[in-house]
Amino acid sequence: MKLLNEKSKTGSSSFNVRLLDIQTNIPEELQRVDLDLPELSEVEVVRHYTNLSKSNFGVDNGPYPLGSCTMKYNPKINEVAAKIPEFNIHPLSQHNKGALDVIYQLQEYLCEITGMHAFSTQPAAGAHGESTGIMIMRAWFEKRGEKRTKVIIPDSAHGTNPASVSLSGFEPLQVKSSQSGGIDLDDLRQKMSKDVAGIMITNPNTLGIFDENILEITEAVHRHGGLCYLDGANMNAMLGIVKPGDFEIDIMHLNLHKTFSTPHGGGGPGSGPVGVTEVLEPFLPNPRIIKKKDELGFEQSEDSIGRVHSFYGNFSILLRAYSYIMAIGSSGLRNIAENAVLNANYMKEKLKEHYHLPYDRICQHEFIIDDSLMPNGVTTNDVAKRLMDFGFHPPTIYFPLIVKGAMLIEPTETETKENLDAFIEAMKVIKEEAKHDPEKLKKAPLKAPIGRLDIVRAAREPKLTWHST
Amino acid sequence: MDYTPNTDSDRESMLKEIGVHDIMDLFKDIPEDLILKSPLRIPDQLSEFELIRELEKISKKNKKLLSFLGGGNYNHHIPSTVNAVTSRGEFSTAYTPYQPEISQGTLQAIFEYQSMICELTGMDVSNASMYDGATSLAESMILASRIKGKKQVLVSQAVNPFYREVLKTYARANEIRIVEIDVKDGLTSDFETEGSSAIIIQSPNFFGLIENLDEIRKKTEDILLITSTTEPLSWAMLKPFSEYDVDIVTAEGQSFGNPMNFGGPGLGIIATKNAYVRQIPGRLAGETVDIHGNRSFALTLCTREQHIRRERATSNICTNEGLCMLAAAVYLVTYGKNLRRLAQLNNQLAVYFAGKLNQIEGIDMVFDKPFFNEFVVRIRKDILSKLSDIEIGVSLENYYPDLKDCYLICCTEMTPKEDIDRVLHEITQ
Repeated sequence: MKLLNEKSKTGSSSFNVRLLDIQTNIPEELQRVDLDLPELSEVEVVRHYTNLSKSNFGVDNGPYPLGSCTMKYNPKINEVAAKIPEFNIHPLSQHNKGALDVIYQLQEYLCEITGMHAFSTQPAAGAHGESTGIMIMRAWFEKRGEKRTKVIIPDSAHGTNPASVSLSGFEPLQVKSSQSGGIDLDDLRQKMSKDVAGIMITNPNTLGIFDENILEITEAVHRHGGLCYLDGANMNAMLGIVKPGDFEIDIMHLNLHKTFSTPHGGGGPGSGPVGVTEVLEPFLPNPRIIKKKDELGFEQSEDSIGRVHSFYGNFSILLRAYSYIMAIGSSGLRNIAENAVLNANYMKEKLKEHYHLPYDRICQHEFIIDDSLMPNGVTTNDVAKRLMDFGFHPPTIYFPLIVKGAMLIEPTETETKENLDAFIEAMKVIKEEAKHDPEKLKKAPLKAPIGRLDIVRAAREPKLTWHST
Repeated sequence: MDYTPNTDSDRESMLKEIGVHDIMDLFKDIPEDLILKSPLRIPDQLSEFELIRELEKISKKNKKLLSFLGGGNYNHHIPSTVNAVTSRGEFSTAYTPYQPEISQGTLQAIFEYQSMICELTGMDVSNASMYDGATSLAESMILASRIKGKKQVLVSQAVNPFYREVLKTYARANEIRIVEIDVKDGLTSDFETEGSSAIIIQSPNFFGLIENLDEIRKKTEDILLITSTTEPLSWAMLKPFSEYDVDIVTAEGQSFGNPMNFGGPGLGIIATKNAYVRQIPGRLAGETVDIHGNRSFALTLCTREQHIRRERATSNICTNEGLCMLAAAVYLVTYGKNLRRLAQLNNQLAVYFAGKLNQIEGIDMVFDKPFFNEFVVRIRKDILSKLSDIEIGVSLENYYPDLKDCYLICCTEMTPKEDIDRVLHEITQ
């Protein structure tokens, strides 16, 4: 499809602005000579993006079992909620009680859901929540006059975990996974020392397994004075079933764009609120939004790590999540976890007849299969590309890194049994094709808007704007 | 409401296929003591109409007044094309475009956005967005100390005070020393570059004034020059930063097609020179071809990123502000070259308001320098009391004790001349 600059025609834009008869105060030498933005008529702008959207695939197009991303249905009412005009106020407005109400009430709900004592909604995404949480860890030890330099991370962790640890001035220390998919307790106990600030764990982990030793893990870390950080990316499996606070988590983040159904937007905006225990509350980002004598307002804490966002986080995302929690209520939350876990286990049992299942046990909201049984050199990537032809978004592939050729499948609770069966059927057909017509898979996708891409070329000769040649 | 479609009989047959009797058998890895015995204390489900009624009720606790608030978040008109595009589920309900064959819509939109940001700033490359203006600045600070190998940066006190707070948060964690530069007559004053990796300047600065980047660049040949802008509409009128040889341009892009929304989501903009492309954080879309030789787009140079490089990544950023970026792209192409006229109108309204206010006894312009659409005035207290139903501006004395009774006033196309005249009338009555 043509680019905007290729469609541009001088004089065709009609988005007029009438000027006043007032001289500018800006000297000419500070002004630019020209502004070469593309010029398109309004209808051409709309058609351009409508046509682009046709080559995109979202949850609204079909099942999106992208493991670790919780691509559930994003209820449309939340979009209506987010566009209520009175919520669109300036962040420094004094007449903000409605906005504060939403943030405060959401904080309360998140505390109840997770068992944490207090939340800050400032972080704008999961990874932002992670670095905020690790900075809280850092501030806690600084306050106690302790210098700890390392944070333990399991080898199955998402890449943001070690990156967040680095960005917050610590060194990651890797701990092994056990044969059954949990954390290797012996390795953890051996690595835990006074030099370790804490652990960053994901539970259920990225293999889709709830670590049955979770209490032993948090105890091993606490025994040496360390703190336990939970990456709450997989909270969907725990809603109303178990609270992270009950397994002694000190700091955690949630991904509202996963668990609480706010749309991913093709890569954001998300929201990654951070929750902490009571002793860590003073370290949360400034300003806090709290209730004092029945009045909501801002508060600054001296021990705070400081501000991490220009204002108070992604308010319109918070509003969507709040709307979602209100809509489904307490029973609806538990229903999510139950059905997410049910759907995943159902698919796992059906698929293990055809694909290798490296961890053959009960899973939570997601599970892993791999390509080790695929004949004729067919890889996970080929399977993923071919799934597109059947109308599915592929699962997460080649992650977690500890399973070679991993396909991480997360159906979510919002898919029907019919969709799950159709996916299973497609996977069966692909397995048959791998045996009899592997070339077809190597060429897939065959029905997508474009064919398979040359990714290497994009990186070898980067062309990142229409200006570059 | 409930968005789970499984019926009781679905659940029953699926449990049977799995080979368990009860749904709780699927949670047996969780230590039994941890399983919640009672429901979460959260109110019952609501129907759609009850929900929206409830939310509207809460929203009414906010009050929308005639407002001249700016200082990092701006009330601009959003062209109708923007919502028409961003509300399409194909865009809004997609994930990060890791599977390019079914994500060309998002990827081409990113590529075009990157191109338009480079046009506005004059820089070589832009990424696909950061969280907001403050965090893109903070990550640039870290980037600069990595490139230059010195753990000290200079930060002008004319940089947005909230941004400076975020810089301090990130600096503390990364053991970077921040040396603040005083403000003189509203502009960044003198400084020494020795021992620093970079200097951070906001332009237009927090007081709305255009900084003298020519002078600053001359004094900073040995360190990186990083700029921040909270009102990038100014770029449509002002000389692009590349002409001052700025190394890293950052900004809050909310002004481009995104609502105020109580301060979020914003749109973190970051653009730089080709020399630093392998150092910048976040996602980049690049051009390539598919197996049929057709032009197409993919995320590229990913070896900078956390999912490949883990602890050695240039940043931890993963999810960014994709849909806000899309809004900005649609905004920019809807205005096209007329964006410059919009910038001029914003400037004209501010010049008009400032000029009129300055003639009123008890109100003084604090700085006598070129500004874009924000300016600072000192207002006598008795005059201020006449403006109780107007949000006249951001009070500055909390951030700058010297600027007692001073307000940062912002004009946009949403504060037309009639509104300004109404305020003037109320003051002079």
